[in-house]
Amino acid sequence: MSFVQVKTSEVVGKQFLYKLKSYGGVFTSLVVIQLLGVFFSLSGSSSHGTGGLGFSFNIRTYSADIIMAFTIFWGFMTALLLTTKAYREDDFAFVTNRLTSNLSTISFLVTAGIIASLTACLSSFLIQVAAYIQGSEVHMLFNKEDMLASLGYAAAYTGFSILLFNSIGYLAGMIIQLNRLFLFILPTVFIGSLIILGVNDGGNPVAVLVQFIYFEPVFWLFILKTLVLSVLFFALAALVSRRLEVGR
Amino acid sequence: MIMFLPIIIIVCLLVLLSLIIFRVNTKTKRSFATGKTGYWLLAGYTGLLIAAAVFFVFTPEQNASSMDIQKAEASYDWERYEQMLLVGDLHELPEDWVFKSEEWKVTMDQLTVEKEGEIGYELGVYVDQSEDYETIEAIFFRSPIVVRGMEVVPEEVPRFSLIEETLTVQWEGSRDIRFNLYEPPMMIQRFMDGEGTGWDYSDAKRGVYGVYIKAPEGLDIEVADGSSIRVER
Repeated sequence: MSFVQVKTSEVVGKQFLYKLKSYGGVFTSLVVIQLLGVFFSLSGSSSHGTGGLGFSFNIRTYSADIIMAFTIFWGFMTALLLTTKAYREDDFAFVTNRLTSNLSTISFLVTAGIIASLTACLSSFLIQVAAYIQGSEVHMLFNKEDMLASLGYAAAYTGFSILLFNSIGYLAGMIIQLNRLFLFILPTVFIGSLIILGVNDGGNPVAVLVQFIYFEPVFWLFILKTLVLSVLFFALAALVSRRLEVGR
Repeated sequence: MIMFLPIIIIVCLLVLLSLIIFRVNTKTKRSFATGKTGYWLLAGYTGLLIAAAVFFVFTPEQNASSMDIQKAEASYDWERYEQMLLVGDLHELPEDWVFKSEEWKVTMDQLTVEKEGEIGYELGVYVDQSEDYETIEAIFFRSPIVVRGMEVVPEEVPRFSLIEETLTVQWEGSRDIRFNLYEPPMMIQRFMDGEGTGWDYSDAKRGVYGVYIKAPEGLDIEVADGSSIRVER
């Protein structure tokens, strides 16, 4: 029996650094998914045409929406992946408990989410350059001031959305680890909810949740809501993880 | 502050990446695309994004800010120009508009103006008759098209021909003008005080254009499709 007292913060710190070292693969998928987003964005998010005397003009609109959506989805998948047995067992190399394991994983997810949100908002420059070099016959319509003003919002929006989807993915992953049956139940519930969401004007819980967060017009309220919900989902995931056996 | 935002973001990203790369031990137990490989890939991707951001900084700006667009479009008082034309103040139109004019001697008592090609009613014909005029003069004028504060000048002009008593305004072909519009992401537009509110057809102003015919007082002028606008001095 050891008499050495270890602080929770030290263990979390060591596990966090270990996870940074080991889980670099998530950034490979991040780069791939963002490049895919750039590729899909190049066809433009919408196209409009009109004409007048002796001319017709076509306006193709570009934006970083697809990249942001892909990155948020990446956040969900990454959190889900980190709850799998292979990743959770990495913690057994340390003196650990569920709390330190969860805290270090969440810290890693938050760090990865910050990096992902920053690259997602910077990728708008890449789309713009690609649109710019499409030909000399094309007139570029953009405004630096508007674009720069949107960067902060885009980074914060993506960052907090990733955090929210991280927490949802983490909770879903923990529930699946608790009982494999949820591997089938959760997607069914999710897809079912999406279908209901499509035909219902907000009567089901998923629609209410989506409206509650993503229809919020006040920016700081949006941030507050995502933050509170993320903490709630992470806390729920931590509670679920306490019910897991050491070997599961 | 806003101008420094990309720099702040890039610096944050670089600091984070350098911290991670230098803290990470190379002896990783995982193989392909894990451990450091992922970070190096991310560093390369970040380099690409930074290069794109630098390119963006040096790209000449092509349209005005949202606020400036509103101001600029308020200054394009198309109605004022139309009023000027109705009272014969053609010379008041800006010099940089596209003009084309042709002149003929008067050898007839009656003149019919016909339009050919894809013009239809779109092209108005202003008829200005005065004792001061000794010849028939056909002038085509056009203001630039304004799309979100950006002026584009379609340089195409019609062809005029006067055969016997018929003046033909002939328009051939059409020019395709392409615009690539970069918009702030739709997801965040609701937070942005009306900036970047998506494309709207009202964003494109077609401006003023037409054919202005100067002719002596006694000449009987008829526009074939009835689209003539009489100038009243």
